[in-house]
Amino acid sequence: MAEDKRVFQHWPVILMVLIVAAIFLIKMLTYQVDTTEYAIVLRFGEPQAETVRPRAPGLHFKLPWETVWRQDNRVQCFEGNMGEFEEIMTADGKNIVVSVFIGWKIGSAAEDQLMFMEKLGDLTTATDQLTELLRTYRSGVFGTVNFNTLVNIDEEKVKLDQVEDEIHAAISNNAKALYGIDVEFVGIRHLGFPDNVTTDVIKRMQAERQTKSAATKAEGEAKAMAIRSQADLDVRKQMADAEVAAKAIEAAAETEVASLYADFEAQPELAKLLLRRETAKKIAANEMIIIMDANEEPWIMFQNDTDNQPEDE
Amino acid sequence: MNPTSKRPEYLGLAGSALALALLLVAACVSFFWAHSRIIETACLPLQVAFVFGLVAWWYARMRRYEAVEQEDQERLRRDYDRNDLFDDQDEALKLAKETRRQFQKYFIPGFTFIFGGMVLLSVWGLLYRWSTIQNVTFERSPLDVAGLCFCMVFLCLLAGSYFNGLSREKGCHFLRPVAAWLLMTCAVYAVAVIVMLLEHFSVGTYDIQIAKVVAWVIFAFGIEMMINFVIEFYRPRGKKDEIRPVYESRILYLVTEPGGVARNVAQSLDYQFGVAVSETWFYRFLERAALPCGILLIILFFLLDSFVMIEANEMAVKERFGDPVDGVLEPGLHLKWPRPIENARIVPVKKVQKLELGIDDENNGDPHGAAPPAPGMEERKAADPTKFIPWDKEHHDSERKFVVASRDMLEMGDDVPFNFTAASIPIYYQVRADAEGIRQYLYNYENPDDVFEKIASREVVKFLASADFIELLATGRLQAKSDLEGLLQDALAAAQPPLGIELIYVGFSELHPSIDVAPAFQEVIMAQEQKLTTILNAEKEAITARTLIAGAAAKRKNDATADAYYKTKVAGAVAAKFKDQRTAYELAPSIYKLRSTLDVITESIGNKAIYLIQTEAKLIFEVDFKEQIRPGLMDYDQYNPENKK
Repeated sequence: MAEDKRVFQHWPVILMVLIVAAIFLIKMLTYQVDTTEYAIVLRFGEPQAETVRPRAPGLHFKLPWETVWRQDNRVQCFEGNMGEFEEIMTADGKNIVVSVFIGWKIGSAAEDQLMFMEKLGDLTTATDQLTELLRTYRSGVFGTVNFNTLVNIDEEKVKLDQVEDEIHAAISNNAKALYGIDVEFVGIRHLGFPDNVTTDVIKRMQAERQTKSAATKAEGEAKAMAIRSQADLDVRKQMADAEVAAKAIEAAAETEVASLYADFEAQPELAKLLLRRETAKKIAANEMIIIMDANEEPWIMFQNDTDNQPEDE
Repeated sequence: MNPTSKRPEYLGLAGSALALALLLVAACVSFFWAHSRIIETACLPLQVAFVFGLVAWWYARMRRYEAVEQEDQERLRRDYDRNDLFDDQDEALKLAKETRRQFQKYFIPGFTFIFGGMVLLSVWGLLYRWSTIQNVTFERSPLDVAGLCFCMVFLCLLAGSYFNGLSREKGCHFLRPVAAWLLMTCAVYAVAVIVMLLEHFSVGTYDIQIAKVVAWVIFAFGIEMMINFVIEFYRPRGKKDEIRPVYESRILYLVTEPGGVARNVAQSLDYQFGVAVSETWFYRFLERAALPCGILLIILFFLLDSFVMIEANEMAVKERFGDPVDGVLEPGLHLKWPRPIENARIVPVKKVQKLELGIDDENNGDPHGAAPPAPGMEERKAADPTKFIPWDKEHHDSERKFVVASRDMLEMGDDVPFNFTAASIPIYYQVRADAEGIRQYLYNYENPDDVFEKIASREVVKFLASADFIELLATGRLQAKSDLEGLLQDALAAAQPPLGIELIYVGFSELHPSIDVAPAFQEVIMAQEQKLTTILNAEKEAITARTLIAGAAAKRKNDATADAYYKTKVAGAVAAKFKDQRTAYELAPSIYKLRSTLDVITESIGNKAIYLIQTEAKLIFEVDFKEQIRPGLMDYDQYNPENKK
């Protein structure tokens, strides 16, 4: 009785052990296939003929000594485990850096899954192998095209789709035959240049822009020069016209003045005298020293006073 | 227990056999199935337990021989009722006792030292082996391994506890190290369970790291064994001291002692609070209720896992044993079987997700600061640095350089016409909110968002490969946006298998020359402005000159006209005056002449100096009508009487 009581006291431990043991037993006898998985049952590590068939998602039974190999059946996408960005040369000798991604999945046929399991086993090994294929065919296909078929202002000449298709076809054939892998798509994710080439391209772009800015400035200078010279021409023409008009007016005035002065000829002595007087007045209006004969008018009236001067001296 | 009983021997052998069996299981599981370094490490304590079991058996066997020998002597003394027969040679005849004493005195310490060294070597060997193969990954089911390890935990716990209890019996204390190392194995398996569960739930793979930690713990126990060998010589020995195996780990004993941890905790609490906490009802309740509470928690966890809450912007697919069932779950509370029977994969279908191509921005962009052209720009930038975005300043942590075609370069004769452009292309998308779309999103691709990012990148690369750079910068930007959107729609429609994604918006929020070239582009704009300035300056000068020359021409004409007018008018007046003067002249010609001469002289003389020359007298007069200037110092000599002459 006492023994029974002791056993009853430990019921939680016993229950827990039983539950865990039951879970483990169920785990040993069943396996679950997810919608996103392929599964192959192995007996002592070897796939059996009856187990190598596509398994529908859900719960399945197995024997305790059977194990389940399972792998993701969804499309995996990657750009290579190494050389994600790789420098390669085009047919016309241009060094470019490209990154190409591939979408792949294990083939849905039973033989594809078996081949994948036996030859690769897991996704890591598969990506290693696919990386090799990707690098090989990526370099190979890009090596057959000129750079101006990758980048061109004329859309018709750009052959990026063709390059993708060729890489896809090459990898797909090999991956299917060798490993049971379906390559769903291939895409060019990056197209660029090595760092030092990039630096030179940037310098070239700078030079191109500087050329453009220099041309623009020169264009401005030329246009300004033309405007100025045109203005100068207009100015000079206009001044010449004005001069012509002025000269005509002056000539007319001269004629009229000459006709007015015709009366002067009646008394030329007086006319000369008056003209001299006017001229003398005008000249005398300037700063000057006048030297005159002391015997002339009006200084002649000072003659007597001047006679004594040498004596005083 | 009868001292001559063989039970301790059998128990020693049983412990050893059990440890060997567990060792074989661990080795097979580790090498052929689980490929777990932690389970490999669990082999070490099992090996130790196996050897200690054999030593316990041997020691129990010697103790039994000694007891038999003792009994024989007692019987002889009792039968012959005298002692002198054995007294003289008593010690010499006690062969079993002597053997046991020698075993205890020499073999056990020696064994402890050598075995401690072997443990250290084994750990070193393991660590060395792992250092060469640590990068190898094995295919295993972590959940299966965790289940097996859980069972091993219970097995080792039961076995360790059993032997620990037995070690309290008289003559069985050499079983205590066996129990301690079995419990150590139990602990290693428990760690393996945790590590495998972490691996199963994709938290991380820590197998090799934790295995190394466990190996170093065992290494420490090996060192302790060797230290025990030394300190055994200095241990004070009492006659009634129970003989303890030297190789027994003191550290392990503290933990594996039955009820030791709980007792220690209770004692610590009692000591800390000064009252017998361990005697309180609450402590006892906890002690009793801990395990049922744990079970209750697990049941609660499963119950809670039976509900799934779908938020307003989400939808979910219910899977039964990995197979999708019942269409899709709409927002709200739903019932399901707990995992692993049913699982709900929730997808945020209505949440707009953003993908930004061309930039790598961790701090949300920082254009830094250029000299602000507009007033108050500094303040605005300080408030939000993304408000001012010039081309020649970094906008983001890292900007990708896209190759773009260039018509300009083609016209300049370049056979490879291209440029680099930096672009920020935000793409907004969401998962298609129908059953088919959700399933495509969940089941077709391992990482559909990553695939979409790659496809979008491809379309951008292709689009830019044939787009004109300058056109993209200005006039073609909106067209480019709509073209790219169309290309992405087509690419999504053509994706096989379908991604289950629908495109919402594609933008060209930034498109500019890379930062290295941007100043040169700005120079072109500056040159255009300078060109315009130069032309306008010339225009200004031309307009000024043309306007002024009209005035100058008019002035010239007007001057000529005025001059002519003046001349003719004056000439008229002079002619009129001449008539009167002629009359006056004809009346008194000589006087008129003199008057005219004097008139000229009078009017002309003004304040001028006149020199009069009298040729006959050879005299020159100086007549100065200039106003006398006030004399200065220099003129002083004029007033000097000596100079007057």
